[in-house]
Amino acid sequence: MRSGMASAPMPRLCEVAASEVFQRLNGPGLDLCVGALNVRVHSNVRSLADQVQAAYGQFPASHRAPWIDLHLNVVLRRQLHRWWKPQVDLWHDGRLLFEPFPAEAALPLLEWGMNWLIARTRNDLLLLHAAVVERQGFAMVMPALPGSGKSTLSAALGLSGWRLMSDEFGALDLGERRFRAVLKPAALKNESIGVIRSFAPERARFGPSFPGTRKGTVAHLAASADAVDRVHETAAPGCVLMPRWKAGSPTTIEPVAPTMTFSKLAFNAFNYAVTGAAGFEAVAHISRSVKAWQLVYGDLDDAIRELDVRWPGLIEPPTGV
Amino acid sequence: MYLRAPGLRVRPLGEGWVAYSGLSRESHLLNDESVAMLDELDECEPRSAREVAERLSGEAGMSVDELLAIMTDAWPTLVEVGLVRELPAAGTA
Amino acid sequence: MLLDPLDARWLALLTASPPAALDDWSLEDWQRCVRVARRLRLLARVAHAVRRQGAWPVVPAGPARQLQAEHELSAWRSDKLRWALDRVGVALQGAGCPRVLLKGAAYMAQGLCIAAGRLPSDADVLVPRDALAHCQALLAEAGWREPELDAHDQRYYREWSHEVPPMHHDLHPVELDLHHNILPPVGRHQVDAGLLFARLEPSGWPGWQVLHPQDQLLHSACHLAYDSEPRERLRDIVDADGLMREFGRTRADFWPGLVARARELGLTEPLWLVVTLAVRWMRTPVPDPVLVELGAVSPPAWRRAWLLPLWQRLLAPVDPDRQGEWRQDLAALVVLVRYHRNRMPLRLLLPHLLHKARRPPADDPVKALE
Repeated sequence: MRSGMASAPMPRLCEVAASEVFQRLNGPGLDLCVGALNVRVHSNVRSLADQVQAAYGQFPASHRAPWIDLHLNVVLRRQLHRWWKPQVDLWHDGRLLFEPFPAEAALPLLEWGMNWLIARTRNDLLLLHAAVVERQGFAMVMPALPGSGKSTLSAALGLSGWRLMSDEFGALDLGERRFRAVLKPAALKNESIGVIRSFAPERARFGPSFPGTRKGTVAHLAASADAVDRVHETAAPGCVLMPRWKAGSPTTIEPVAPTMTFSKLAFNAFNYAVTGAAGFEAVAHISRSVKAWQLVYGDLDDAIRELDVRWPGLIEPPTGV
Repeated sequence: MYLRAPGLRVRPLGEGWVAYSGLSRESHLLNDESVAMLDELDECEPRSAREVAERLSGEAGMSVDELLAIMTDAWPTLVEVGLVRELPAAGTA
Repeated sequence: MLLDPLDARWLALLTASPPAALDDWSLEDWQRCVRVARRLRLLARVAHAVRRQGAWPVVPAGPARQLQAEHELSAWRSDKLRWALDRVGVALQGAGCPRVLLKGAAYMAQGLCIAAGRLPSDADVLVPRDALAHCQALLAEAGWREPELDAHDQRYYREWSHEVPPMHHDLHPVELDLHHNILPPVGRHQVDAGLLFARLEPSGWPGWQVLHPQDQLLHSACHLAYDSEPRERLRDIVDADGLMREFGRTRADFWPGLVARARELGLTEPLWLVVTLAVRWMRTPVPDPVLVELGAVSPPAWRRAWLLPLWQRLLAPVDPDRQGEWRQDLAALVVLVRYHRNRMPLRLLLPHLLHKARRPPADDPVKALE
């Protein structure tokens, strides 16, 4: 919360020197407020400072959160043998997570660990596996399904005036039944990286590319300043969109039955089962009270134009409910 | 003898239904027939398969025996996923 | 750095009576509590204690969401355990033998205070050794499958262990551990299972029984004392404290003869260990006569001198801002050696450990998020 007096605008990570970012990581920790939760990152790995600066560029450089949900520490392993390649470990509350990563892949390790922990420690929320973009206060929820290209589409929407709330988590507050942001850099893979670079060459800011991961090459697209600044704004469910990329296909948007919507949301969530009756009622409510659509497209620009034009109809509540 | 499971929630969704069992903590998509079966059960008063078939045969336009045959396979599944509770036959522990 | 459990205000919260005030807790206090308690798998119990005291309204939003989250997880796991055992009970209806719940499931079936806020991942069930094969067959018919084991592992389980390989079912996320004793039959410490079966009691769940309260405490004690990974298992001391408080209050036949029973089962050292640590860290009210009796069977002074600090080091929570604690790692290594020595004679242990070393490590249980 800001105080009443006028103060200089808080600098963003991309506006300060990398050495300052490292000083923070290696000292009091770097606080990242991603919306539904606050993360504090410590690290003694110099290269991580540059990587974080690129991937989280628009986040405030010196934010200090009073409450931290996740404390993470990316630590360089002590090398017993100078010919061994340097490796890093991820620690959470004094517990080691996963196997060590090569030191130059500290950012993917951090991101992977954060996602894994968010999914496990926020069972007070319903965490759908979906990208969420917001427009006019309404959330368009895109379930993550194989072959959907949801990451590419949501990244492109985020660069086209839609507010990206999350690339990975559809975080629903079960009391208010509104979506909250879990805004992190979008992990794009392989061809997606090139597609988005060409889609918005000036606006798209990426962290470094990491070849040879389990999923191929991964690069992180930084969230826009607008998305970062509005990270605390929640959104009501507006519609559910199931994208499917198909080479050469014209853009079509067709309605989807509510039972299909229920399946795609519930059985594809991170923690649907744990939320029990509350999660069931929330997903049933969403499936009944908003429309769901299947988007098939071959051209990204065309798909976005179509979504723009048809938006008011997409979020119109179903009749006869 | 069957009972409807406690904490059962059934919601209509378009052409189908979704159900949640507080017992098994599972959610399932159900067709009209299964929902009809659940509807004819009670949480406290056990009913037999035959009783349920009798109650439904008018609505379904089928004979009681036809209905019984159709429902036979459904009962074990409904029990296994926690939507229905089965009481042991009278005389056993 | 190892934290002294006595410093943890939230630990006292678990047993506080009258309830401790929470409105003077700073956000920093809550931060510490959440981080350490979650690591020790006690956070859901803290959530339960806070609720039980009616203190939920004074908890700030940040910690409240963490407590709520852990509560949901605990409720889900507990319900899944209850459901799995419901189905196992149906499967074993025709077994014609006593079926006994152990540990968490037993506490839940008896509705004990320590049943709340648990994070169970296994269902532990005890049946007589001669009924084991029949029970396995009935369970297999109901869809419970044992893992595929090679000949060595099969032999390990069949002849040397007190349990069968953990069983899995497609519809249940909990693992079913079928035991015929509470300690392995070839270990250095052997318990006569017949003595346990002679004193079974009904539980709140039809068809299921539990051990006599004294035996439940002794089982909890030997489960800790003889486990291979005892690090930060403070929750076992919390359980022991809970059992002693509740049974001590509700059962006139709990304290008298407890030490004698421990002697009868050969479990005096685990009992001594668990009571000593519970009294120290949880201030468990143990009647003086029992303490005197326990003193008489406690290990000799020279043994206590290294055993007690060793366990204190093992069970004490590690500072969440530190990466590991070598003193605790060292202590854990000592216990691991003891663990294996206790479970199998040396002539069997060496080939077994070699076999374990040669097998490829199990899959990382962590699945990458997409």
